Amino acid sequence: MEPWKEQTIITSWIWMGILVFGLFAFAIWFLVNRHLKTIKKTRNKAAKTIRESKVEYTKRTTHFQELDRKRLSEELHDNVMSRLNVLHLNLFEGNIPSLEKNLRTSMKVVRELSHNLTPIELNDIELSGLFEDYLD
Amino acid sequence: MIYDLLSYGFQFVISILLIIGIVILIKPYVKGVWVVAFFLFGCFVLETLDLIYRFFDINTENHINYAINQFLFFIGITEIYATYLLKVSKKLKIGFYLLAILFFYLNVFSTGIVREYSGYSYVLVCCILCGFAITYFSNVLNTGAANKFEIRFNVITLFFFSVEALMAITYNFLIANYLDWVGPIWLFRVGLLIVFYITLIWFTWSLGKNKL
Repeated sequence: MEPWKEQTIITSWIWMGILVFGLFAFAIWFLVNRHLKTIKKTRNKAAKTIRESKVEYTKRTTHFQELDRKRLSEELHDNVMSRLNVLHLNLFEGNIPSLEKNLRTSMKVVRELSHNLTPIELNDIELSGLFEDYLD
Repeated sequence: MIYDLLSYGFQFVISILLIIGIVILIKPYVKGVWVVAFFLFGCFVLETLDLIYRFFDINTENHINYAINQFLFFIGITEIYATYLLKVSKKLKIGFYLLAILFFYLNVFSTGIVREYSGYSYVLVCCILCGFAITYFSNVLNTGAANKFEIRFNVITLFFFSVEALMAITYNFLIANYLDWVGPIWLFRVGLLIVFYITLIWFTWSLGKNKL
């Protein structure tokens, strides 16, 4: 009998084959599990980044709103109030030409303030309209 | 003697396991649970028949039992994969069914040299079923979506059918040789079959649990 036809050798080969297939199945299970864990980790990380950027966005928006409010209150106090005081003085003195001049200047100041609060979108308005608005 | 006794015990355990599996799966409604229930019922009938043949020493029916077993595994596992795990096109499914019928015919009715080699058809069946498991893993690697029950079932399917392929190749050696040499291999195969049934039942049960 040829050596490979012996029972012990064939049986050993069968067991070795079973072992190899077992190791193969285990390796696939291990690799797929590891891959899925990596994907899960990456997804969690991405979700965390999105969450953090949303919080940061809200924080920054609140901060800029606060800055804008502060600027607006300063503008109202420094420009508008002082102009109104001048107008009040003119009215008290009965100086009509000066009153009219100061009234125009005050209107201009208020308009500028309003424009600064709501910037005009260039796509919505034509250039000629922008100039006309400015000249007014 | 001890191997003979152990194999009787294992066959009895398998029959009980299959009955328990069928009862567990039929109770909650899961879409397509009947595929697995029919498969398990078919396996139960075959195991019981095999046990009866062994008790009464009827050896002539063995090859028919083997052919039906092969047919059932091919059709059953293909249908389970097509229902739960993979998108198998209708044409491919029909192709597999025709192949299963051809193998069944060859295993039961062929004679002479064809009969001698028709037993090796099970190697091809096992390779196709291992191919399903590998395709599933490939899909998981691409999509990154899977659950642990599916992975367990596929790993056991891959391992069980690769061992089955190996045993189908060495079938003549395994049935013709002294039991002391081949007995442990058969027992290992039966143990693996029990694990396969448990993972299949567990996997199908998990589908119902997720739905509920």
